[in-house]
Amino acid sequence: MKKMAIFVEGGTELAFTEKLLLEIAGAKNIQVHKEKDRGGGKVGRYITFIGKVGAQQDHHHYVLLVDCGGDDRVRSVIKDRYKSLCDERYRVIVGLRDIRGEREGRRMTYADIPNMLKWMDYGVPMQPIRPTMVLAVMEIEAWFLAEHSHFSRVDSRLTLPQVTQILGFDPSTGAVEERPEPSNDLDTVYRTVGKAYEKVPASTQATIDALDYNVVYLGLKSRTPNIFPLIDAINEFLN
Amino acid sequence: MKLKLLSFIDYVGLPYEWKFNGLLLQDRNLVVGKNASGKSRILSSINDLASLLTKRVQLSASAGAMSWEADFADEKGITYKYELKINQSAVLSEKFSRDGLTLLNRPADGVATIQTKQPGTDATQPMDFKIPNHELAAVNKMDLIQTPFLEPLLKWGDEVFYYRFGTTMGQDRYGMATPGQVNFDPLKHDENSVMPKWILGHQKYPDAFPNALKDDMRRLGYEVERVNLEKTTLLNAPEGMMTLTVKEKGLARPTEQHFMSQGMFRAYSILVHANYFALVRECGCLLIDDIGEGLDFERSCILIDLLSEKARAGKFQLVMSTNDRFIMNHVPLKDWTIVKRESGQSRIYNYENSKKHFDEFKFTGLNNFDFLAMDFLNEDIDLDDTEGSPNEENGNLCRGGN
Repeated sequence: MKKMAIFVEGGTELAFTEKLLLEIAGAKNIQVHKEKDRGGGKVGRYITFIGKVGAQQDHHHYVLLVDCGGDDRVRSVIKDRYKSLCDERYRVIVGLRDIRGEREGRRMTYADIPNMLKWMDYGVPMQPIRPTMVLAVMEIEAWFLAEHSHFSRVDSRLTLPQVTQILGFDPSTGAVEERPEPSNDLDTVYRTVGKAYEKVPASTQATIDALDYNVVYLGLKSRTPNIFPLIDAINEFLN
Repeated sequence: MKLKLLSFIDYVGLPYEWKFNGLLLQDRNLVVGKNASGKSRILSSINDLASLLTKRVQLSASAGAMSWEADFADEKGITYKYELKINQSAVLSEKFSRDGLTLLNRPADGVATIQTKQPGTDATQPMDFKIPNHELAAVNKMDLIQTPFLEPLLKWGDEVFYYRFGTTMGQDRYGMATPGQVNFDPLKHDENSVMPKWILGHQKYPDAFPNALKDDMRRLGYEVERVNLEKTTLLNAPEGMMTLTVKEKGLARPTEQHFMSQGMFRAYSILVHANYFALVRECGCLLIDDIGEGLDFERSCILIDLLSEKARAGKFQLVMSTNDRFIMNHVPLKDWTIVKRESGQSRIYNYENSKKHFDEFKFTGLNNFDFLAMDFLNEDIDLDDTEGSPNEENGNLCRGGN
């Protein structure tokens, strides 16, 4: 059995990655084991099993999908668990985090990206497995925004012209990765039809379920190129 | 006044001399470092100085040779400096100055001098003196009329409180009550004096004190309905022996202090002290070694937040130490003091003296603990932002086009 481990910063990233894995691999061919990784102090690491989806048996591909509980924990958790992943014969390790968020009392911005990239490999072992670090710019919701057809599945009134008018920005052509707060863009649009996009599981899951994964998989490359290290890593693992 | 800067030497001149220089202190401080780096000794060196100034400890033949150099500042911006060198039971030298003006000078060899205020005027004049060498001149010569300038220093010493969170924190201390009153000697600086503090807090603030304790324990995740002092049901306890109790929702009866978990009692105990200090304003500096020890990670972080709030309310300085990674991750790097042991000294690193490393670390995407664990202070961070990246493969953002 081939094994892959994906470490993500939170619940939205976990739900999206789970769906993406099942869509790309097919639910019969892959098992996704989900857990939360918390703590790590003197009282130890708290790893909570969240669930298991996909194939229950006879699968050749197994993915450990870990919600690390914060963008500054993703790489640290990979570093801490790297040796055991190697010992357990994992072949692919991926980390997914975004840019938004506060650090040391300061909000990270698009201008901080070069500095973040500079240290992208720092502190995490590279041999025998080189972890792939995926940086969602500015946050994963930029990918949802780019897959603009989902708006009409959330509510039929949210046509592309309507969304463009609401945002003053065309998500089918505009630079979604340069939007400072894509999750707020989603919320702004949803609220015009009496709905909301909030960082709670029920809300994010509804959007994740409304996405067209053919578009995510094939059609976003030019618009949200930073999703492709993730898709490439999944493809490499499945092949 | 608050302690701003401290240097300390232990076992002065001996092969096993140990020292630290330039411990810069702000309102909230988290002293971090690996085991045996000197964290606890740093906190205890502050407490030792305060204890000497208030005669909580006496110089004795068993004491080693020690040296302190402490800088203070008060709310008006007046600065004070106190230097003290001792060897066993003798004071070797002592000096105190205010805003750069020496007011007390007791050199190692020679005659000690102190500026004394003249009756009815603001003028001072030097006065030579000689006192027994086992006494501190700052204590011995304190006089509210003649040498009032010493008062803030002694007051600072009196307002330093030191707790080792990894100890029992008073869980094994009980008290006896007589009808109508509770007779406890409030052992002001005893780290185990949780019960006297509870009683005093309750007497002075019968509503605010217990309510604050209840609220704080609830924030820590304990569903506390009532805090109290009651007769213990402990087997073989003498009649009238009292225990602190906490009544939690869903439990039929209050939990006595000896039946509380160690972590819960430590948290309760430090909150008794901190709430007392926040209300009575008798604390200037709260030292807590090994903060969070024995508590789970979420409660450790909430406790740090609670203590920070009490410190702000009570206007006292908070100096905590830890080597727990979760606590480090919770406290911003700007509040950190990193201690690194290098042979005979502990080197001190903080935002002031290592700003570039502290600022750069936030871009690594690692949690704060890794700043210490990976020795980021030793990283060469003067890298070209556009070329020379340590990350050749991942070091480019994927650029898209429309």
